Amino acid sequence: MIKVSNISKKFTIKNNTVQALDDVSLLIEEHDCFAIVGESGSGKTTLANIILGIYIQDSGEVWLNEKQLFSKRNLKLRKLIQFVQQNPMSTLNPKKTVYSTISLPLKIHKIVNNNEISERVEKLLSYVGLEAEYMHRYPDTLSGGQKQRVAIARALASEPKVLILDEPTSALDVIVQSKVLNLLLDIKEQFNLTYIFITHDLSVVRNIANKVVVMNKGKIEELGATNNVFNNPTSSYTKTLIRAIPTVTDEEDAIKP
Amino acid sequence: MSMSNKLLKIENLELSFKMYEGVFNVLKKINLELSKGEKVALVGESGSGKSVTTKLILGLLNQKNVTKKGKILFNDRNILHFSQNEFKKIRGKNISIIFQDPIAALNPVFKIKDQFYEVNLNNKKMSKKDSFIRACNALKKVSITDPERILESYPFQLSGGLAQRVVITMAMINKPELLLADEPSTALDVTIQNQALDLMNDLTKETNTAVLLITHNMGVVRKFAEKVYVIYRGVIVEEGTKTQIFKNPGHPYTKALLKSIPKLSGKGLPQFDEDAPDYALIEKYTHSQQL
Repeated sequence: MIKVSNISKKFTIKNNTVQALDDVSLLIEEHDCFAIVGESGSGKTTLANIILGIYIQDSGEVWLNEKQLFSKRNLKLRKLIQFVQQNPMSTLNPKKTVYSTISLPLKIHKIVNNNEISERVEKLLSYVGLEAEYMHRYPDTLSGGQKQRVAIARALASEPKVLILDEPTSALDVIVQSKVLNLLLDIKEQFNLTYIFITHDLSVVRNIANKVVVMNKGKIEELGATNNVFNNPTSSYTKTLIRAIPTVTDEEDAIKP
Repeated sequence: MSMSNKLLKIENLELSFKMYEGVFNVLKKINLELSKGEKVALVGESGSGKSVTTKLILGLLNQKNVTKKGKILFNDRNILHFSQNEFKKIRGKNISIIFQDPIAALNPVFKIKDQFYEVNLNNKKMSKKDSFIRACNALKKVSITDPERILESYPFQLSGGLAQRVVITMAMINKPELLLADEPSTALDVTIQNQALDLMNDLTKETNTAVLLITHNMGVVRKFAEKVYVIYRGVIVEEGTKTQIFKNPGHPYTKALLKSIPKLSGKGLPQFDEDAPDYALIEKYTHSQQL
């Protein structure tokens, strides 16, 4: 579905150059939950931004099915890939109600007629487990988990095929995190979506992704099916990451490489 | 009892905020104890009252709309109603704190050396030169190889891991009796999170400093703490040793917290009802008889 081939990206500030991505190639198939894992600075967010067309790569190509994606895209292409960001506090416009936040993509992409917008917003809210009365609320009256649900509803509004989720639960409490992750899995099945899931939390990856790529300093350390990567990690970096996960039972400690 | 071996004893502590809409009771008669050198975790979610507890211990809640009742005994002296001048004598010297986000905890417009200087003055009057040497030595001890460069840097020039090392060193430089650690590793990557906990462990062991660790992550609790208090909506719902809490959790909220971390062994995400029970209505469960 999405093919990333030989992407490189450098950032230069004054005399300091950072190789954010170094010859990265990936194949994300339809209906994957594809996890991109790595520490801060490993290049995972840069990669997402290139797939979204926010950054322009120095070299390499991004393909969506049979179409090459450039950073300048028409509405039709933009509609297909949507984005949910890390911090629900800063991703919603504090001066807009939930209704106007979610209806904006409906209007831009002309998903429904103007007289059906309110009905559709209500439906989108129900997908993420929020009642219709939330429509008239402002973000600061919502909890962190509710804000993230609104952000997910907004991403779903344009009826995308691919969702890029950049640390969607890192800012949430643990119990809320499980609920939002479960919601994401349900939605994925319901709308037949493909997920690109960016995170540094390997225990989350273990339980929701079917494929995982481990990135380190802009390079791919390891790539494979989640089960294989966790059961038989080959790279020492992957082992370090898995060992660092805080666990709550002895059985889990025993699995660590 | 005039002399107890308890370093910190919180007795029936109550806190409420008077707001336009009415009075909010944030802490409801909480009790908590720490011995010298002991590592205790206070676990709960956002809004449970764990961070305001640390603020009360440091004397940082003094707004007009705040009502405090009960006692916070630090070395058998009730510090709850201390004046700011009295707090100044113990803050940064006897009690220090590490915050969640190390970059935000440092003042962006001062070099690291100047921020160390301020902390060093809490210990005793010294020249800037002596302060620099003292900070240098402390940073060397936490395996920072070029402390001179770090001290001449501004906070934004440091990586998150390095900044956390600086903040931990700063908090420990005056060998405090009590260290408050408010989600010290949440903003960090897993590997750096591990290093930060190890570092805190090493430094506090050396000086026999007691630690009150505030977190919502039971995995972090298991790695670090000896004793655990679970707080939910301003009520301590369960307390016990680490083994008791992890082997035999009694309160449903503790069980939910333990369940909430996705397992390394796979088998899918933890499941919760959309309508979580109101754990506050469930009676307090305590292991404390066996403590």
